[in-house]
Amino acid sequence: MNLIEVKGLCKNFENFHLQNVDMTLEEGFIMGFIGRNGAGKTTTLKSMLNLMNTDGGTINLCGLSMPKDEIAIKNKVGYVFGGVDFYPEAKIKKITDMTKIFYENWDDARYNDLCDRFEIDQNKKFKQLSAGMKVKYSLAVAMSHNSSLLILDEPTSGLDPAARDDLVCLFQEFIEDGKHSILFSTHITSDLEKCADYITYIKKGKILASNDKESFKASYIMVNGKKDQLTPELEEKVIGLHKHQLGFEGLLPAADKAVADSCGLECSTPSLEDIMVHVERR
Amino acid sequence: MWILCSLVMQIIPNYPVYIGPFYITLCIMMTFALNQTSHDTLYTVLLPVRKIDTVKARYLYCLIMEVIVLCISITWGIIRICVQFPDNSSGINLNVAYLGLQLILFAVFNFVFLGNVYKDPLKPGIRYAVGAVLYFVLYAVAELPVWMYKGRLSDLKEIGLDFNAALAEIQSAPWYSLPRIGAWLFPADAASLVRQLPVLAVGLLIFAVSWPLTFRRGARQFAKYDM
Repeated sequence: MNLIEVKGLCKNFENFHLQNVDMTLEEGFIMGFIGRNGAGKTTTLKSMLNLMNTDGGTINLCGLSMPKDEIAIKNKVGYVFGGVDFYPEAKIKKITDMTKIFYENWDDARYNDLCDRFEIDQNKKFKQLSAGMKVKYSLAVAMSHNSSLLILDEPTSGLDPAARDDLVCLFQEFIEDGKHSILFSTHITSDLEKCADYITYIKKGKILASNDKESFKASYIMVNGKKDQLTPELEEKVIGLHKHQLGFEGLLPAADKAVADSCGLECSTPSLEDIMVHVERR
Repeated sequence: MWILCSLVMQIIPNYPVYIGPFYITLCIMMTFALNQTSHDTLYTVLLPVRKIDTVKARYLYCLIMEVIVLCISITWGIIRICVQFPDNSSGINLNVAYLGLQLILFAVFNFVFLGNVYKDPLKPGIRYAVGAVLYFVLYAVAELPVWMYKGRLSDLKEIGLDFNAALAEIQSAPWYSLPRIGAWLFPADAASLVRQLPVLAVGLLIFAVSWPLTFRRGARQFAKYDM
């Protein structure tokens, strides 16, 4: 079953247009949603949750249609918006007590387990939590109402590497039963290297690619060469060409591997960060 | 706290009775202003509720506050009559006509402020300023006949008429004369309270009609608003 089915999603602002965003995610997987700041990640996620009005397209989450089945969807989807402080002056216990009455399937035992695991002090005010603890608390709430799908908007931004690694482990545990999925927007690609099964890449409001991670990475090759190996024909083909004192580096579509081989270039599999850096430099 | 403020203000002798409830309008605005730090609207919209329910819940909260204030006013009004509180020298008495007029003031404030605040709930300031100015303009309009009545009464007493003769003189003026309207609105004795019931009825009607209109306007604006 597809937990996410987005087709032709459009949203127009004065200076920005989200154009025909398509995205599909089956249950049991983590999808990384990457792109630069301002590429349209948050707009897409907010549109999916009916926080923004759309100018076209259809959104189905957990087999239900948004906005028609808004309440049912919100019961089945958990979300975390990184960097937003809800009720900073309120105690954690109070926020949770208010929140849980809205959910049909709130699981107190699960919530308490997660809070114990994250060492969240229920008597602290929200503002007294560190950035990492705020995200962990938001995740504890998002995962305590038997949600099938988590939508996370830059949850790891601003966290230290150890805290990010903790979260990545938690994400993997969440999906391991094969019935849950996570859509995870970030520009920290190293987190996605560890846990994502699929990658959707958005640039200037358009989806450049949406594929499983290995295929996505395999669709490019990283090339390095010396100055004299850079022919005009090659210069046109290389994505995000970076010339330096010793030569050049860049990306080539995997289909052009023969060109790289014929020029005698050094080829390697790019990381997600390599792809992002060179595609954005294009 | 705000309700307590409003409560206390209405038992101060010789103090304008419209001022206490004004603090409630300030309190309503503050619930929107605090939204900027608490992200209350975003949090509520993310809960399993429809977007429109967020507006409904907030309006219900405002309605409850206004009704509490009116209940407090009624309580103090009854106490003031029972203990034969002296007439208010700073405007209208806490009587039936006042309740009707206060309902109209709330209705207009609600329509102007709450009806427009959801264009951008993070920026309530300017819309509140418009609502507050209108509240005071209507307050002045509502008090004008009372002040005209008091002035005319004072003039007539100065030329030697006693209270009853002066009142009879004022009441002999055409029905639309402001001192005569003031003579109808001001008193707080039992017979006058009954005569003021039409003002309360009109106030209740306007208040009751204003809420659905305010809600429809606010809900329509919030539906268009991108969080």
